[in-house]
Amino acid sequence: MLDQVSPRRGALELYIDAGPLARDIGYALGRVRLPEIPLVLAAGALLGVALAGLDTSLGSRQVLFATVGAVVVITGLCWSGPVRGRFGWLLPALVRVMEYAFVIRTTAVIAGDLEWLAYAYLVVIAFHHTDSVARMRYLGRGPARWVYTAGLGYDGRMLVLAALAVTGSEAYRRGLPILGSLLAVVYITECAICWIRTPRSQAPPTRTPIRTRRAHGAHASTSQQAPNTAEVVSTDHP
Amino acid sequence: MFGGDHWELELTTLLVAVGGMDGTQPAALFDRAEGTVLAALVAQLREVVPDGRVSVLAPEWTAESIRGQLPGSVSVTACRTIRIALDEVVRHAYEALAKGDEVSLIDGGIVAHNEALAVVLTEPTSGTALLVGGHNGSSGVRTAEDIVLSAGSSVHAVTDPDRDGLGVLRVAQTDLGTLAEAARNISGMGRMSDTASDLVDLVTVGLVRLGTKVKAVPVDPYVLVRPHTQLEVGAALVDLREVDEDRLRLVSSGRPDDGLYATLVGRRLARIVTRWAVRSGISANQVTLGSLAVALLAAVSFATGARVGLIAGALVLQISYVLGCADGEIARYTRRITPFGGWFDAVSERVKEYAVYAGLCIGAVRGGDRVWTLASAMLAGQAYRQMVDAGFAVRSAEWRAEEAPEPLTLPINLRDDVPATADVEPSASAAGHSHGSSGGTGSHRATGLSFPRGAVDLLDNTNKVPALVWLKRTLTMPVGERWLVISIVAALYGPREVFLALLAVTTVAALYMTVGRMLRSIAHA
Repeated sequence: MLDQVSPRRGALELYIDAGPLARDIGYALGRVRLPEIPLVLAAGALLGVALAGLDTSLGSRQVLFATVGAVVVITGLCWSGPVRGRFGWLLPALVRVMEYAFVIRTTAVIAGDLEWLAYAYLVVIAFHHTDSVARMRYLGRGPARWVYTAGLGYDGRMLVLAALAVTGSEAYRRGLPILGSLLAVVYITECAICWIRTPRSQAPPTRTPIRTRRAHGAHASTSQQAPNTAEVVSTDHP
Repeated sequence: MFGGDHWELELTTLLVAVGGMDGTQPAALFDRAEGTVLAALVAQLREVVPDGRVSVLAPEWTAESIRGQLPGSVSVTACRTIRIALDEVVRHAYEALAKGDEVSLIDGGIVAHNEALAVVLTEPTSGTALLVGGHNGSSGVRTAEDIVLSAGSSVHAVTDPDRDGLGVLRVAQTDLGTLAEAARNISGMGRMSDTASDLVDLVTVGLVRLGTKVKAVPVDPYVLVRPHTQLEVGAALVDLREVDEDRLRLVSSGRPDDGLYATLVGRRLARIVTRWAVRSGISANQVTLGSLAVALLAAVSFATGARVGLIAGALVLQISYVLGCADGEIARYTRRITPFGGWFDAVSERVKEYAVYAGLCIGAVRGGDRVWTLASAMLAGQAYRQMVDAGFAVRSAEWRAEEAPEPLTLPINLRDDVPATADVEPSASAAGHSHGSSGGTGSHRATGLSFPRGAVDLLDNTNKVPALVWLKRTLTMPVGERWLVISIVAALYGPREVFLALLAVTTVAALYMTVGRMLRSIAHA
């Protein structure tokens, strides 16, 4: 019944949340279009191998950093233009899984007792993406452009954390909460600014108070309870 | 629509057209309980759209007596012919265009529920919309995927009509220029416009034939009747009384895509909350906030790690869930649907859930078990599901926009909606579209019986079996089902088991959603 604002073109790019670095790599490539899904899957496989082999040794941490660098370059190659392809809609989900898996595994190995910090950090990231999706859906536009630069994108966030991991366990233990807090400030501030600037009232105020319960006509309960046969497009909100 | 700062000032012009400019007795002047049909309708409109400005276009011969029946704030314009009434439409269209308002046209001779008027006049739709009912009358329309392809009036015929226009037309800001053009075109129709009787039907034809996408909004389950005789007014009033308008309005405030648990439990309890909140003037956002606070209480309770805490948390979480169902209902029921409310509802749902995970983890630590990584894995699973859902929604919206049916653009002075040169084409497209109206995908192309096409058809065919629809919705693990898993497993077992169960069902849901959407993508291409 409620007519939601349909997500506009460009929403997929917003959900992928590529930072300035990955976007520049794509931009430098110009008009060359590469198949996105195979590239992102390849990057994911690389990252998976590096994460599986990760231990506290300096060598494996350096391998992880190099792999994250390669992942940023490979995935960056995909963003030289608007996402196309039959399965282009799957890209934000794949990128998210890479980022989350990276944070979970790296924290577990480098700072095993700080798993709760990894959780808190991921909640900040999850807020950002939930906010992006919800604003596209209900407001018709996503967060301001600068958030996608200041928020570093999946690429920048992973590189910073990988660099901290190479530097040492102590640096990672301090850097993770600092990065998480800074990101939280960026995401929440921009979100607050957006809603302060947006007028709240839109629909006219109500009338007709509910009258007290009456005998329910047989009419009322039949058609409405039957499941709607339309395809369930969105299942995320009650 | 969401961009401007003029919302607070927004006024809607409600043009009520009384027929009878050809000298016949208009339905608007039939007697209804106290006063005329028109007087009752104007009172209803002022109730349904309190910030609307009602203007009545009345035939000159009875304008004075109409003025006497209506409150002083309602302006009544005497129109000697239907062309003068059309000039008034043009004037109102330009005025509204300049002020950033909207214009709605309403047939003065309708007997309807308040809610029937409200579904078109007050829903926050983003486009031009026409109220439609089942086809049995004269002013038929042909629709496909809820777009009016062709409309009829007393002087315009429709090929294969499938519904009836009900004389309530809301014209969006962006279509006001076209409205003026349409009204002028009708004036220029020559002798045809003199014999036409119903202004709203005529203007609808004018808009549709200029290529405007008019959304067909079904009146069901409410009742709207356009009586032709005094006797039919009495029958219509009986029909209206047979429907419990308030209860229907409450029921239809739910969401059509609810899961099984939401429908069986959540919605039923939420309706009690909604009644109570609406009566006590509590807003939807306040209930969302309350639901958030209650969920945080559940998280704290889980964080104690004790069995009592887990059981208490499980119960409190379900209370939060019911409140979370009610907030949307309250917003829809009171028609205070705001972008912020929708956003707040969606984001707070995640905040609640992730706070509960954290509470469970803290409780587990007290019991000597570390489950933070499992909770983080659950975040990843949720992020994946959300992104698959949101990403595919973007794509399918693009497909729908590409495939949206186009109204037939035709000159207004043709009686029939079949162009003389190509009289086969429209009925063929009508036949093609008449199947696809409920499927939602609209991709009924003859691509042979390939595997993905067949699989998608199979998925769509299951929609005919209610049990399978419920199964499919449950498979995607909507919030109700997820929180039910949390509550039951937490109360009976413990935090670790909660996360293992959640991860298992989320994996199944993620696979199901991904494969289903991939098949649809292949079938679409």
